[in-house]
Amino acid sequence: MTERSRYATPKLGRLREVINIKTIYKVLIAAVIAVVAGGAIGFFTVNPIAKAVTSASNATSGPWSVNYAYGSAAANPYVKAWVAETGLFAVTISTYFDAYTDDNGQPITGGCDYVIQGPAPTARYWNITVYNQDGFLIQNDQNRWSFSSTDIKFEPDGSFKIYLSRTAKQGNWLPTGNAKTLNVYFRLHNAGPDYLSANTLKSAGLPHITKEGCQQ
Amino acid sequence: MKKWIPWIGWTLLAVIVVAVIVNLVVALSIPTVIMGVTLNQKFNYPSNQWIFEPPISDNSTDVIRPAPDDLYSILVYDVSQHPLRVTAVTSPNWAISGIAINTDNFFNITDLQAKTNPVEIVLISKGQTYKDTTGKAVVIESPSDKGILMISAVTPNQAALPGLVEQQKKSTAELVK
Repeated sequence: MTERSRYATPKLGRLREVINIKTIYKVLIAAVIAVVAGGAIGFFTVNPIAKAVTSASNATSGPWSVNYAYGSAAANPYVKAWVAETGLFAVTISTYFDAYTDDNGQPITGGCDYVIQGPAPTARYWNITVYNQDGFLIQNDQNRWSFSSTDIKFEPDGSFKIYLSRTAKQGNWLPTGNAKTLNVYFRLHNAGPDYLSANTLKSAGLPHITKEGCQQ
Repeated sequence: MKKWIPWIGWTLLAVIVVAVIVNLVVALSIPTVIMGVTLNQKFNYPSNQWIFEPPISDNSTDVIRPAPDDLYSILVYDVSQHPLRVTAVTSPNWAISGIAINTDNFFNITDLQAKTNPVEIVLISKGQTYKDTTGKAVVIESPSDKGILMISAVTPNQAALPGLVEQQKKSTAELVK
């Protein structure tokens, strides 16, 4: 037996041993598990990850949060995915503040009355809108969904108060109809510099959202 | 039993790798898919024509969180073959914005930034060239062949609405062939 053949035979034997039918089955089963389980995990975790990544990159002040990357080409893919789902056609000339809770961190619900109050923002134009749990305007007989810098009634000191309630209120009343949970949205066009940076946001004086009481 | 331990390890690793790849691919695709569905199925507008949207109301469900004070005009553009020239009349708190098919907001011109009224824009695709001989138009390259142009104008009060509607209807769009 030559030197070459003495080593070739055990190698070939080992190859046969490794690539046997059992191994092929094992590889196929592993591949199917990887594609099915990995695909499902990958697909169904996109939304929670996109929400978490966007929340982590939000700047917050009290109940308000803002993401300065909304609409921007520089936003990471998960923020872009979240924006596409929750705020399609977002543009970078406006600044959007979002609140789902009151000042105490409790969800804003349609069964309770709230007052939103604060100083008039430094912006060329601003508007506060209330949406229902689906992100749409709330049906009401008054067709009143928002107050803006052009139509709100200011307090004598220049500040403003907006009332969220199912029942009529004196002053700036936003009817909440049959909405279960509420989302308050604060849009500013050409906002002052304090509103445009996470570092200065706390000094910008964003409005307070205070619960006044709940209906029985 | 011990023979299976490496197989379980390799399978788990493969699951993680596939999950990460699928997750990233889906995240990257979501903006384009949602934009495509909105433009092709919800809006279904003809390309390169301004569509003057009715004022926002509680019946407006095409887009989540619509701005009730804004009057919108939408143009679904396709500049794959030719540049597109658009004109639009400005008003206070007015803006024209370009949004690519992947939802990137690639330009905005507000009434404060507009150098002419009406504003004149020539939208070109990547690789196209256009020389504006009038000196009035702003030439803007779109990162995608398709997307939308959106005019938004704040309606300060209901009395101002008819005038703003008429003004937006003066917007024009034509392919430059």
